[in-house]
Amino acid sequence: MTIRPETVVLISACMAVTLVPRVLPLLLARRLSLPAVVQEWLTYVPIAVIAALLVDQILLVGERPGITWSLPHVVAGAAALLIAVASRSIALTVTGGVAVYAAMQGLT
Amino acid sequence: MQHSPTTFQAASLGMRAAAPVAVAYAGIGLAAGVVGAEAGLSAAEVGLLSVLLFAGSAQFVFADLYTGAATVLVATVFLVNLRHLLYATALSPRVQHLPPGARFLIGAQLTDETFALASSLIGTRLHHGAWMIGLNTGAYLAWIGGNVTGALLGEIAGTVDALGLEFALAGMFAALLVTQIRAQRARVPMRVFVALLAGAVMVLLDYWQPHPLNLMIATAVAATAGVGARAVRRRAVREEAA
Repeated sequence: MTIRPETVVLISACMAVTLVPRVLPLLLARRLSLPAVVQEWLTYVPIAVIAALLVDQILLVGERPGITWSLPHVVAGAAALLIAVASRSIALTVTGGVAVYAAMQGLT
Repeated sequence: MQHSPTTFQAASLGMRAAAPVAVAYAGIGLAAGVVGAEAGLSAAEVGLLSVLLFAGSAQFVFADLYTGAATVLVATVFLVNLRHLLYATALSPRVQHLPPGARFLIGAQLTDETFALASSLIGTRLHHGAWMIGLNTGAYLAWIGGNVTGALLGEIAGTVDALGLEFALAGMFAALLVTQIRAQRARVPMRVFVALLAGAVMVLLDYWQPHPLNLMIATAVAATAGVGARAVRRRAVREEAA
């Protein structure tokens, strides 16, 4: 149960670069009205980021560049998407995905 | 919230609304804690990390990179978390009537899931800052609790690879993606198109060179293509009508 000073420095630096983008738009943009096209663009951003992150987690899991085709990742990823569509529940999707992934790892 | 509830009532309603996210966060936090402990972080350090950072993917990145160069770590965390800038910008018009302190708190606790959940629940204007802060705090406490528990388990149990916990983050993104695509029913096909394009660009960029910036490029390309595709379709509809 130790806290190393260098870890505190690193965590603080990470906190700073995380906090600024989180709060700056909320603090500065008083009465800011964005053009319609920018607003539309912003509605697509979360979808695009999350899709890219999901692909990164499922298809790009190895050290080498390119698609890895790791069977546990691909099968569990497909299962998680199906569970998400059917259940509309984050908790069930995470639990189901982890279970399928663990089972696939046991098999392969 | 038709009758005006007190601040306390709004906060507790928000906390209740956080329940599904809190359950997921406790679980994913547990995974993050185990991964952190296996990377050599103490339970206290994992706790500090989750209190100060409160960002799932960035904490996995931290555990992965903290022994290396500090600049790479901080730059990667910055890029991974830069998407919050876009969430905050999207949320901004709905909270501008709240005092700066409340806006600061709402921003500081912004995450993928609480943003997605709040966007689908609050409509065009957030009536009670306390509701959103309650929602965020519910998720925040579950996250910290999960992290510390996971780190303690990791310290005691050693390797727990067999549990498949490293897949928790991917499961989280799968659930979030489906939620995001469904957020506006009328535009599901366009949203699926944007998601597929972002994934495809991400893969292509990775073949060229795996890099933390790929995430931002894939996002910008796909979102811009979505705007462009809708403009083209609108013009086609107009020409048909003419």
